[in-house]
Amino acid sequence: MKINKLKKKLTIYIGIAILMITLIGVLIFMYFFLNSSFIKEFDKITLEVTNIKEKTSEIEKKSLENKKYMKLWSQIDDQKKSLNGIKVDDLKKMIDTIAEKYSISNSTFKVSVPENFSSSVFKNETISILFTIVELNFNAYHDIKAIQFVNDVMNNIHGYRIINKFEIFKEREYDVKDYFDISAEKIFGIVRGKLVFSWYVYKETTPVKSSN
Amino acid sequence: MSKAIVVLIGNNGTIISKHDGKNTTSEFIEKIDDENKQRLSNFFITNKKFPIYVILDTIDQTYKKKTYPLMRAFDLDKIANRDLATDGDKESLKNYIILKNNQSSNKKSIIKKNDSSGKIDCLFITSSKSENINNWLNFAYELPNRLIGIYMLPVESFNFFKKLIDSSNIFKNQTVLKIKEENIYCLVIQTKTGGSRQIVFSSSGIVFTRVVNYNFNEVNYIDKYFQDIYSTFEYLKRLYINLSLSQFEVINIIPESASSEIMKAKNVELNITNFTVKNSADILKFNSLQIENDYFDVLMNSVFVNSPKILKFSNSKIKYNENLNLILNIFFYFNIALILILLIVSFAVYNTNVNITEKINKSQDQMINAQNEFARVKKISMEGNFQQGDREISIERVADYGRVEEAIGPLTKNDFIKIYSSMSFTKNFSLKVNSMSYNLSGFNSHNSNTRNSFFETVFSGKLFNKSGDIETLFTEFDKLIVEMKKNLPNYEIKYNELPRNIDFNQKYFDFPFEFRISKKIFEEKNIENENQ
Repeated sequence: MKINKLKKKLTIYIGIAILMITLIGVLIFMYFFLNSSFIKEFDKITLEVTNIKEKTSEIEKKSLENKKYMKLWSQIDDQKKSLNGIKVDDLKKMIDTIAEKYSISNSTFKVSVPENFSSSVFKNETISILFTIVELNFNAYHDIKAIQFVNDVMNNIHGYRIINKFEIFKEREYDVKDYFDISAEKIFGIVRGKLVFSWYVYKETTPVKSSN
Repeated sequence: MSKAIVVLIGNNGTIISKHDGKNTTSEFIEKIDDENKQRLSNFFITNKKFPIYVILDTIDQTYKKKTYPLMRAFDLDKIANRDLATDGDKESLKNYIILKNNQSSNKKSIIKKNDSSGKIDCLFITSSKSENINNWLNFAYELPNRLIGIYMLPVESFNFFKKLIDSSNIFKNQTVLKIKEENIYCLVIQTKTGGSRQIVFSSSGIVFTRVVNYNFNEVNYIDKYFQDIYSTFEYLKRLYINLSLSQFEVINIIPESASSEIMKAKNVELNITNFTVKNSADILKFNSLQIENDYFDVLMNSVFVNSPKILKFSNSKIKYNENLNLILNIFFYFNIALILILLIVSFAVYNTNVNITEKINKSQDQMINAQNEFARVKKISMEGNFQQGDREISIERVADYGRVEEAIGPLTKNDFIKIYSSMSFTKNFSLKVNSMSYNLSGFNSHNSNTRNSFFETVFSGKLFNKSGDIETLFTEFDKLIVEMKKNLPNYEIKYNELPRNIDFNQKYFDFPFEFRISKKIFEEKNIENENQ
């Protein structure tokens, strides 16, 4: 065969080979490019779907919670819902009034400094909660009066009040002299009482994110 | 059967034979000139897929034996090629073959071997390029057919000789021929292109060849024939000292008339076997060959095409051509491989693309479904405000209240009054309560998880026993417990049992007690219901 023709044919073959290699290279690049871009796109969509599903699930959960809390709302008495805050003077006045009613004597109480309760505890978003601990000591003539006094006090305090401790202790039995002294208001009742309770009260302010 | 075109060039002309695997066609051309070039070109162009083999049946071929010391084949090749290159004749076609160097040959062998001295015999073959050969080669270079190489008829006819001997053993029992290692064979042929020729073979290949100056179609060749045979034998005696006439066999491939004339001479010394070209072709199963005037040319070409080639002669152009062809072939198959790879990769890319599109579409559908579901849930979810009477309270505010109520609401329900009232049965017992305490246990005021909190009421005092009798004390205590459990059925009551190892002889008028009455605020059932 003519050498020129062979050379020409060889040139064509080399050209085809180069073209093929280029095409294969481009296709391989496309293959990996498609794959990597697909993975990115797919991951993006998957992440988005997951986010949407999470949000949906949150909304569903919240919706269920809302339904539950709406039912609960009607069961919460107005005293608990009160937004009056913690007013020590009012509390003192109220305790004195009730103490008089049950012949309670020598009543003293301590209120810890109210703190803004962290919203992270009850996850409250729209309202803040004040918290304090109240300790009440008193003397009563007998146990029934003491119990009734404590019960009345607890029922008359707004917000949430949770008894941590309530103790009554009778040191001894009354004797005749005691009766005379009591009538002459010389001694207090010999039943000693002590009440410690936690007090949570709502306040119309922005909730505190965290407490130190 | 192989496909090829064989150009057999001799001093008297050229025979071109086309072998297509089934049929063989041939044409004799005396000389290549401008008149027949065009016609021949057309013939070759028409059959451009057929490779061309050139066989030389020329007079001026020389066969020269040369002995080398024993060495590696690579070194021998280098030395032999150097010797070929330095012989002064640059134009001639040259090559060499290594004569069979049978180390284990038996002692009877008449072929002079240099086994004992460890030497190698090479046969150097040279053929000058006549103008006619040059013209043919130049013509062949311009053809589209692939020019494989140039071959020498005497060298390549060894294949014919071997095949003929092997095949004649089967077909012609009466004249059984065998290739014996100790024998020398003289093949006498007559071609149209080159005339009559003696080719001398040993059992392993060509020894030499000589062109004889008579024609079997003419008269008075008998004397010359025998004279030439004897002179060949004499020449061989110089190479193989122990060669006898009985070890020298003559095989004639000549017209029947010529062989019968030879046989009429009744030479009893010589071992002569006669074949015609026609019956040689029949023995070798080339039945369809058109044999013209019992010339050997076409049969030789046919055997050559279908046999392994013995010795190729080449020149720079042919080598260059062959190298180009080799590279072309490599590129051809490389391109085919590339096309296959391209197809596979294309398919992979297409498939990946389809899969990707499907997966993306599927995931987008999933996203749309999720978005729709989100929108639906959002729509039906209780957002906005909650109306209670004339008050408008946001849902978030309701939830805030709800969470607090859920966590600590139950803790605000005190039951110490209830417990205290339930204890009124104690007036029927002789006892004195000194203290009562009501405690909330397991409660952390700064934690919304109040599930484990419980109220515990503790009564402590003394149980009186007027008689002081221990049995009465036990009875009273047990009665008290029974009554307590009866009156406080939903509470857990813990107490200290009266010790069983007390002194029974002693009087007990009173005994201290402590009752712990507790109740879980969040019953497990309630917690489960809430969770659901």
